[in-house]
Parts: sequence; C-alpha cells; structure tokens
Amino acid sequence: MLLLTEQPVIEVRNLTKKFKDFEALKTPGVSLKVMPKEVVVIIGSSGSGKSTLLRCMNRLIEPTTGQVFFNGEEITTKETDINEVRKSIGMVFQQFNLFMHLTVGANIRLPLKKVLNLSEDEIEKRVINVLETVNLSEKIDSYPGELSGGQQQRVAIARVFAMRPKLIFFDEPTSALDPELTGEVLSVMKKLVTDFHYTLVVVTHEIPFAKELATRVIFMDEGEIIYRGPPGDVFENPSNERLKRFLSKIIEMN
Amino acid sequence: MTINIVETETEKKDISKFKIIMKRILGNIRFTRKNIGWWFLGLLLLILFIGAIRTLVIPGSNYMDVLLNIVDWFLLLFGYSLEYIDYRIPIIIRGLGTAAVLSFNISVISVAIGFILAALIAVILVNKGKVYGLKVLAQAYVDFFRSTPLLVQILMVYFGISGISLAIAEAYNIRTLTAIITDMGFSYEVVLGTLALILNTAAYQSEIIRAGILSIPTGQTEAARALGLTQGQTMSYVILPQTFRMVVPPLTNEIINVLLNSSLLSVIGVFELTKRSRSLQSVYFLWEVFFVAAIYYFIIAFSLSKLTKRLEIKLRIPGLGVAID
Ligand SMILES: Nc1ncnc2c1ncn2[C@@H]1O[C@H](COP(=O)(O)OP(=O)(O)O)[C@@H](O)[C@H]1O
Ligand SMILES: [Mg+2]
Repeated sequence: MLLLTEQPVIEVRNLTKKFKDFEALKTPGVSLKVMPKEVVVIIGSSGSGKSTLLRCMNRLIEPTTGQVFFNGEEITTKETDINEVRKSIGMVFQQFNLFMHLTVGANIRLPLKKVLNLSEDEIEKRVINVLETVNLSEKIDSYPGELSGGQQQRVAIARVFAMRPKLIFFDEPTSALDPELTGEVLSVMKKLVTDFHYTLVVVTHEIPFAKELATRVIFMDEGEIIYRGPPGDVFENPSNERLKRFLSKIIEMN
Repeated sequence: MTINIVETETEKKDISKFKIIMKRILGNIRFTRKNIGWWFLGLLLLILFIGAIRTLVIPGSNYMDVLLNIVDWFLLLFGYSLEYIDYRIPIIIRGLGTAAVLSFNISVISVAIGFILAALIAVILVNKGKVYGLKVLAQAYVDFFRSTPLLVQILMVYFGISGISLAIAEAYNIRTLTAIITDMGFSYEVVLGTLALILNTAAYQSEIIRAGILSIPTGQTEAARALGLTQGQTMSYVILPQTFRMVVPPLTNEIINVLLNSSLLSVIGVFELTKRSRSLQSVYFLWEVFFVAAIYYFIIAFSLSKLTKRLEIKLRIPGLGVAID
C-alpha cells in the first residue's frame, strides 16, 4: 500500500509573542504540527501561554515572530485574508462568548449568513441540525442569558460546528462550569471526534477526556512546550520533573 | 317587618362591600419618590380634562378655564385682584404651548441627528485602525464641545456662520445663507440654534456611546472575529446592538439635558419656551408666566423619561445590564 505523506492541518513554526517586555511565548519559539483527525490536548499551569498560542494560531493575537501554516499555506503574511482562513478554524472559549442580544438560533445564523453567505434554506437546515447534535433543539428561541453555563457552551460549540470548519480550537471549554455541567460539554466534544472525526486542539485540565480522546498531549510551561507525547506517556509515567509536579497538582485539585 | 330586616341587611352588605372596594383602591394610593411625578402629571391632565368637559357643559367656555381658576385662586394669595388677571392666563398658556412644541421639536431633532453623529464619532474613537488623522480630529471635536459653555457655542455658531456666510456672499456676489434658509421656509435662528445643539449633544452622546462600546466584554469581539466576521460586521451586528441597549438610561439624561439647554437658544432670538415666556412677561408683568413655562418643561421632560424607561424595559437583554428595579 502506498503511504501518502499527509499534510498537517495547521503547523506552527518558531512562534513567539511578546506583550510589551513580557515573553508569553518564549524565543526560539513554539513549533507544532497538527495532522488531520488528530486531537491535540494542551495542558499547563495558568499563565503558561496556552491561550496565547491558540489565539496566535488564528491571529486573534498577532504573533511577534514565527509562522503559521494552514493546509500548507502560510497565514501569517501581510497578504493573508485572515477572515477567509477563520471560516475554516472554529474557536470555543472559556467564557462561551455567545452574543447576548441574539437568541440561540440567531447566534448560529449570524456567521452562516454574514460570513459564509449561505442561502436561507441551507442556514435553517444547519441550525436545526447542529442544535440536534448538541441536544438543545428546544432552546432555539432562548437568549443566552436564559441558559445554564453548560447549555451556553453547547450552543457555542453548535455555532462553530455549523460553520463546518476544518479544525476547532477549544480554550478551557469547561473551566468556567460547575463540575456537574462539564460532562454534557465534554460529551458533545467527544461526539465531534467519534461521530464527525473533527480535528481538535483542546486546552483542558480534564485528564480523563485527554486520556480517552487525545492522540497527543502537549505540556506547556512558562511560554514553552516542555514535553509532548501520546497520552499514555504523559499521564502514566511522566519522565519530566515539571510535568510530574503539574500533574500531581491537578490530581490534587480534583 | 321581616322584609324590612332583610332589606337593611342587604344594604349593610352593600355598604361593607363598598367599603372594602374603597379600601382596596385607597390602600393602593401611595406617594413615593418614584410615582410623585405621575401624580403631578396626572393632576395636570385631570385639570385639563375637567376643563374639556366644562366646555361641553357650558358652551362658550374655554378648556383652560379650570386651570385659569386655579391660577386665579393662587394669585389671590399674593394679593392680586381677580379683574386684572382673568384674560391673560389663557393667552399665556396657549402662547407658551406653541413655544413648548417648538422646544420639543428642536430637542428631539437635535438628539436624533446628534445620536447618528455621536455613533460615528464613537466608532472612530474606539477603532484600533490606522486612520490616525480622523481619530485626532474626532477627539479634538469632542474635547472642544465638552469643555466650552453651550451658551458660547450657540453664540459662536450663530454669529460665526452668519458672519462667514455674509463675507462669502459679498465676496462672490451670491445670496446669503440667511436668505437661502428663509426662502426654504425655515427660521434662520431655529436652524442655526438647532445646529449648535446638535454639535454639542453629539460630543456628549459620543462619550456615552464610547463608554457603552467599551462596556461590552471583549469576549464578544473575540468570538465574532474568530467566526470570521470582519471588524465592521462585528461592530454593526454584535457590539453596537448591545451598546444601544446599554446606553438608553444615560441617553435619557442627555435628551432631558438638551431639552432644558434649548432654553439657551433664547439668546439668539429663537422663540422657544423661555424666550416666549420672557416676552409674555414683559407684556403682562406676571411672574407666573415662568411657572407655566416650567410646567411645560416638566411635562415634556417627564414624559420623555417615562417613554425611554419603557424602551429600556422593552429592549432589555436577559443576562445583560441591570435587573428590573
Ligand atoms: N493582552 C495581554 N497583555 C499583556 N500580557 C498578557 C496578555 N495576554 C496574556 N498575557 C500574559 O501572557 C501570559 C500567558 O497568558 P495566557 O496565554 O492567557 O496563559 P494561559 O492561557 O496558559 O493561562 C500570562 O502571564 C499573561 O499575564
Ligand atoms: Mg488561558
């Protein structure tokens, strides 16, 4: 059988980010490849630069130096139409960030209409479809303020999912939730992987989720990638001291 | 005999029922800080209503007569005698009525046009883009109009534009702005006075809207941009719709400010409420003219504030802004 060398969905080369004098991503920079259908989990203590890395990858934050490639094409050039690229890169935030003035349905419709310019029929089809996927069909006319945190986050996932992106970033999707609500969000994320074979980059401290679904785990500390490997290596017999310390802290908290 | 007893008992029942109903009604009547304005407005409307009914019952009488009587009694307290005052008050009330309409129109137009300008300025000011000159210009405009007295601004606009347009008209041998505006059927003073109010309120409103924009959590912008919306789309579909709901209460303040500040237009000869009351006073020598003028201002300002309160409740977004008080 002929083995094709696959192209990474997203690749980061020597990415650094400086806020004023503070290096959130340290030189020589972070490098990273995410292959199709991979689920990359990023762990690391607060302030280690995980969010900064994700945001640099879709240029919500402009990296100071380094390059990002999406489907083999550099997206960190001056000529890049970043809005075009963002159609294919979804992002789910810690604070859900649903548009407060729009109903659940309208939240999902807005980007489909204004960004993808889909027809009304297609938009309605997708709205109904994604709300079914996240099990919130009956909330289509509710406002975000009327939903629980878990429900809001599922709507946020549905909003991204409706765009049919190539890749979805999750930045601590369950960190703002009460423990009893994290399950419903994680199960929707699991569905994206098992049923729809999505490529995900997930910042999370949900170790069971990482153990079950991650193809690779990346550990960040103080603006650097310290350690990377399959979840077995990372969680079962960590060889790195800092990683060990971090994991014991996480386990202690849970 | 027996019949009699039954009758009195039903009578008693009726009375007690009536008592209960009255108690229920009277029990709900309260003067509080919040509803005192309603009582005042309601009383005025009641007086006018009784007056209106009287015109039906007594042909030839005026619907202002009741108000007139009340003012008469009021004046008696100050030692006036009745024959002096009768005829003046209706004239005053009617004269001030038309002036009040003018004040109202000027204010509403100023606030509306000022709002559009202000939204534009606010967007320019919060924009992180590179159109630097525009930003400096907008900031200078806001600073200037917020840091100088409105009265001076009105005089400056009025005499400034008059002077410049006159100079231009002479230099190029064309018609003056005064003539052009007058030919269009507008009052020159009203147009320039309104312009001054627009320029002033736009500066204040732009700061209100700017603060409103900044009060929207950055997560909203991040989510919108991450979904691929452009900066402009994010502004128009995500940020501004939320901002406008947030700024209704401070804008209510500004609407009332503009209405009350429109009295300053009297200095350039706009016959709005204040100017009209001064001229009526100079004819009739009645200080009560100003009291009537104040009542007109009150009716407009109070109604406006109640109207925007309605709007505020109607536009409320679940989970955003303050809860119902
Ligand atoms: N906009 C910013 N300005 C200045 N410093 C920032 C900014 N955003 C993040 N940082 C700093 O960069 C570091 C990394 O932040 P972040 O990527 O959010 O960490 P994490 O998501 O891993 O908790 C933190 O020390 C934070 O204080
Ligand atoms: Mg973070």
